[in-house]
Amino acid sequence: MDAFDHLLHGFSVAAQPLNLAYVFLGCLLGTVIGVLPGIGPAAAIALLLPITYGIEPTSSLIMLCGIYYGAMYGGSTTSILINTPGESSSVMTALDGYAMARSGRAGAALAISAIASFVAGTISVVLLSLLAVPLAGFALKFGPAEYFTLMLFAMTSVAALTGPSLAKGLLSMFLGLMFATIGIDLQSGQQRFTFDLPELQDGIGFIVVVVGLFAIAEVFSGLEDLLKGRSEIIRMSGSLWLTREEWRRSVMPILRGTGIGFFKGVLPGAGATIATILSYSVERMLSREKAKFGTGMIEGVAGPEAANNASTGGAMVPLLTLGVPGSGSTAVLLAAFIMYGLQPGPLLFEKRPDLVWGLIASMYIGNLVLLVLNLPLVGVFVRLLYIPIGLLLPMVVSISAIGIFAVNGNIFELYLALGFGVIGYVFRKLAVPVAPLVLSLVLGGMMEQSFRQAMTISGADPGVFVRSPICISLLAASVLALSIPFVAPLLRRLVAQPAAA
Amino acid sequence: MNASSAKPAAPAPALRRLPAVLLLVATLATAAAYLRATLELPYPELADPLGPKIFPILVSGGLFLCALLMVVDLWRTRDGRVPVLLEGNQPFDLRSTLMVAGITAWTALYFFVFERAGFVLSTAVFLAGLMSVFNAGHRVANLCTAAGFTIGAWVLFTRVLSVRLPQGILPF
Amino acid sequence: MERIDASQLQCSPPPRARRAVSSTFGATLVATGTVLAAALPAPAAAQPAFPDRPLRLIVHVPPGGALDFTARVVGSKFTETLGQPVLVENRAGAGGIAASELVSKALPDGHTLLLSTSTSHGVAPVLYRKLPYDAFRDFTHVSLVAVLPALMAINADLPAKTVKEFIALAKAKPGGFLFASAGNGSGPQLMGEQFKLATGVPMTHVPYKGAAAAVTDIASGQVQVMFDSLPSLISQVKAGRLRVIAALSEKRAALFPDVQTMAEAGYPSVEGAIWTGLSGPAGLPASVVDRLAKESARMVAMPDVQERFAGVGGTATFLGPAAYVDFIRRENRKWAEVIKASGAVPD
Repeated sequence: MDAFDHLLHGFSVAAQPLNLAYVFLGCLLGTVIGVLPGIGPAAAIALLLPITYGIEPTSSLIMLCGIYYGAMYGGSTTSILINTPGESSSVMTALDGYAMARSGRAGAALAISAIASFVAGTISVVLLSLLAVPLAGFALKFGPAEYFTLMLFAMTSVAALTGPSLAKGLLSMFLGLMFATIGIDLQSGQQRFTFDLPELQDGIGFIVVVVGLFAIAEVFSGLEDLLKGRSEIIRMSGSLWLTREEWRRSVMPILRGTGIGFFKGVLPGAGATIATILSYSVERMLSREKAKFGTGMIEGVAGPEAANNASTGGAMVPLLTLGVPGSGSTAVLLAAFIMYGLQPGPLLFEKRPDLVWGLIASMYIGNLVLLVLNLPLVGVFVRLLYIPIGLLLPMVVSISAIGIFAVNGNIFELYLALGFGVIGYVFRKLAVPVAPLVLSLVLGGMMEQSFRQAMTISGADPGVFVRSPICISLLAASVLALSIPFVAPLLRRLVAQPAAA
Repeated sequence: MNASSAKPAAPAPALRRLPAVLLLVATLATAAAYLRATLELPYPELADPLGPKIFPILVSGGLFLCALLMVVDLWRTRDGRVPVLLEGNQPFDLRSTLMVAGITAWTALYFFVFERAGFVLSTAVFLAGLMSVFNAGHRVANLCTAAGFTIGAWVLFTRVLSVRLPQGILPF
Repeated sequence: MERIDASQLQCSPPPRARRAVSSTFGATLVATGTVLAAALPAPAAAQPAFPDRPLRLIVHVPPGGALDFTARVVGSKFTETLGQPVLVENRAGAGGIAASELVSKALPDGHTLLLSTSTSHGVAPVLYRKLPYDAFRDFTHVSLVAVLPALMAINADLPAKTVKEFIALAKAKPGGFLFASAGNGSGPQLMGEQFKLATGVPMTHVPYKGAAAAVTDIASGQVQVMFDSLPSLISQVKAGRLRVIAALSEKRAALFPDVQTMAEAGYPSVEGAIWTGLSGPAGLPASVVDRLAKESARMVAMPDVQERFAGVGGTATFLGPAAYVDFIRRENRKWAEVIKASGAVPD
């Protein structure tokens, strides 16, 4: 057990003034660019990667990790303040975080998201240094069949996010799955529903949909409220800081979110997103005020934020030990590693312990820097809400345009986002939830493709989905998740009847 | 639970149910169009055992299921109670709809000239236009904000972060 | 196997890092980003009119990865030699169609260039039935820059050490083996089809979204084999989960001197590589083409450039304008035959 020695050594690498400066710079740049709607960690790293060319590899990777964390936090900030998630893993934060901001608790929501991220990041770094090697082989156990069952399980949690009307929730989910099928079909190479537009060949990007459904739709309804004289200036109620009650309610969600996040993060694929969905549904399930979720429950911010950040640590396990990227962001990090001539994998731990542990230590320092950087900024960010709506919302449109254009440089995507903005506005009027659409868009494509890959590999034998213990337990969990809404009232009635009699 | 607790309908029940009926129609139309487009996909000679059509067919089935749930909801509340479908709805009105159409057109125009005229010019004009409508009466403040935001964003993203934005016709 | 260790692969960045940090340009890049460099005095004031403002080099892949890496090398070298900053722009997606279309319609003055690649110009012209441009008529192809030959890598648990043993194993297995690719119509798929055609081995294609996911499933044994260039394979090869059993190039791979080539194994027609070159819109003035080709030949000859490509398993290789066009045509013909014979046409 010399992991701690290594970690200490790692800290001595990471704490060199130059590397500290790079962590700080990375966090700062990451936050700045992560605040753009639709730009999450993966896009931020990709955009800022060129800046790090020419820096010494260890420092450069340390800076990239800083960007990763900074962008993640920047995404949470926009989720809370203007209802626009930076990536799929902060969609859940927007649900209650934005509602909190609307009721004057933006300061508390931002603070708890920074604190939850810090606590989760800290715990997951410790878990990473202890468990990286034992967990190493786990990611390789995940073939297409296991992926499919994992996605199926995640979709059952998405389906539970429906709100009052099941029909409207499912409609949103199936529309997301429908949009996920647009583009070149990976398995057959055939174009599906692209209308011969080359822009649609790669499918509809998450960024486009999320900016449309969240940011632009928000602009429409915000301006409508203004037009009708309904928009009240949001008054900050209470202090910027958390109340004692809010603290109390956040502790357990943070710890549970951390656990869920780390172990989901270890799984490659959509680890972080699934972790946030699971954390949110767990908190709602455990809460006595289920119906209030979506109206500004701090548990619904603290849990997913912790899960999101802890999964970063988790995602580093397959990346560092196997060279398998666990998420879009770690895939970009992997590309950066390879560019510097470093091959992640067990050998990296032996040959470049200074780099691996320096990286792990700077992840921790990155968390600390974010906390130091962002808690004082909460006050500044919250002031954004004081900007008159008639000035703020037009700027949101421009910032959205920058965010979308920066990634692919494609004007067509701007029109597409505007179209989704109109859809989002109509959905809002009709009270159709948008989160299931966004999440199933992200998960649906992977679900279909891994199902068909598994069928090709097994030679069209559906038995492949019940052959491994991982598949069987995930299938069982899906069935359980689907049946709980039906079984729980029955059980309650059974318990209640004897009491009444 | 939800349906039974709903209040008796307000002024014109038939009209109030219209958004729910329209949603049902839109769902049916989407499902049908999607199914049709799926069935029209050419079948590739070489493909995996399942092929590219099965999943979209299942999804369109799911959309039809949603439509069915909506029909059931509407049928159960045909006596004038408010369907679950309408819970949380906000009414549409002509003025807001026109406003949204107007902003959409103005934004589409902005995107149309975004690359042609460049970020700085298009954004400054776009913002100044919207702000003068929605923050009327503060002409100087609006112009300053529009120009300040545009130039600030341009410098921050292109000069400091090397993020690419269209330069357009302006020389800098 | 011990010879392919980190030291060889790591040698690329440090020399550059030292150089870059010591120069004003590098420091500026680090501190404030590429564009500010435009404000620095250009080193060669007496240049002819050609690069009179910053150049754009369009790449059709997202940042990171082998192709983007090539673009960055070209960008930083050309910035030094042309006296104007070269800005690398990533326009990812759809087989390079978006990026190629953009360049084909740009002003032909040499300030907008494309990193043309095996994907965008070797395969796309014969893979897609309709493209918004003609791969030859709408471009001025300037030079080939680098070639990264492909390797055949199999799951290390398979007992096969050579192509011959692999074929025997595959023929003995009912249903045959599975080969992974980075997507339908990608290089790895076409090379797999090529291998099937040449050897008659039964193999089924399993496409993945990107090489990383495909390589992971070979490492775990879900799929048995993949044909790709070194950057996607290297981490699992070094971890001992993948075994390289053949090089799809004329000569043996420098990093795998003991591994035989396909020609040595008896299948000279199985041959493939990732390659990248420089192209501009149709109608580039001859003086601009000459200048760019000259700089590109100079760059390819630089020892540090060669070293950096060697680090990712490739070679810096120069071909002039006419030779590059011939090269592209040859590639087109080769893949057209494979696509036709195998029926692997997505659209």
